[in-house]
Amino acid sequence: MSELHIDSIQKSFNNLPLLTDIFIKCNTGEIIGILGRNGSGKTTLMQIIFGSIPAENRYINVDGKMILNQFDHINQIHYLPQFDFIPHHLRIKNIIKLYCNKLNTVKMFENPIIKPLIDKKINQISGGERRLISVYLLLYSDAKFILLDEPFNGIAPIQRENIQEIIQEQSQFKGFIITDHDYRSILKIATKTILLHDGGTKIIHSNEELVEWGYLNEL
Amino acid sequence: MTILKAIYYFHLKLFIPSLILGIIAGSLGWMEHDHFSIQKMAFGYWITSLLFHLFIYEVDRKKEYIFYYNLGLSKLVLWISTFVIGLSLYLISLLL
Repeated sequence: MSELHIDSIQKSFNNLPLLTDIFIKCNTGEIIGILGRNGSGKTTLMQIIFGSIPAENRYINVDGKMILNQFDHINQIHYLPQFDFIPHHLRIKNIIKLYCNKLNTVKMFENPIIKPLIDKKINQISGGERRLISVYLLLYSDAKFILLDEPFNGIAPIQRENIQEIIQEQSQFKGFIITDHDYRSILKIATKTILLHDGGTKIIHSNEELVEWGYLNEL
Repeated sequence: MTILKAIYYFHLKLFIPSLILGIIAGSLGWMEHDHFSIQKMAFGYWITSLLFHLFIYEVDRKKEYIFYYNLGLSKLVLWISTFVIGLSLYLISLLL
């Protein structure tokens, strides 16, 4: 079992502190849902954990080993951003082989949604299909921890359920940290829910607490 | 192996435009020495691949870096790979 330890993250924009009191621990088998209002710093937190943006202070540790640069991320932490990040000139089958181990490559190749697209290049499929491929790619990717930034955004309801099932299935082998405004989807699958509030992380024990903290008006 | 493949895919986008401009640079050899210049082509490839790296990946498709970050390739490593591949081709051309 692996453990991702995130602590002491500090990030400011124009001298205004955005993240000040962050503590998250994620183990293999856990699905951590991060909720928060717009501008609360969810995406920034994901990017800092991944290492794609700098922070004034950060402590990211996987199985006792500090994650300091991109090279340390190999097979440790993978990140799904909100935007389209897959190079358009590559074929889907080549991208899958690059990101997934043999077992998951077969699973993706046999997926009824991906199968008809397998020989196409990314620039030959629609924006919606591209998003779906990105999400599936990260879910099956060969890393101990997966950061998913708005994986349900722009995805049809039936596919959302499919994605939720895959997250639960894959959580046997890895840990997930997910943030999305579709809080119902998050609450449905999360083993632990965290609210980002005033720059800090608050562990949510019941859905009523989301109302108390002002994230929801009512349940 | 995965890293080498990722670097290969990264450079696929730079290869054709850089090669075309490299061939044009090599053709300039006819004006000076009456023959195609492999050194000029390799030097042209080296310089233009750096320029295409700048325009394609730093300006137009900046978001694609995340794809390579996931595979453990930082921006610095990718820049170094563009520089080293171009330089290697130029040094080989000097030996021909």
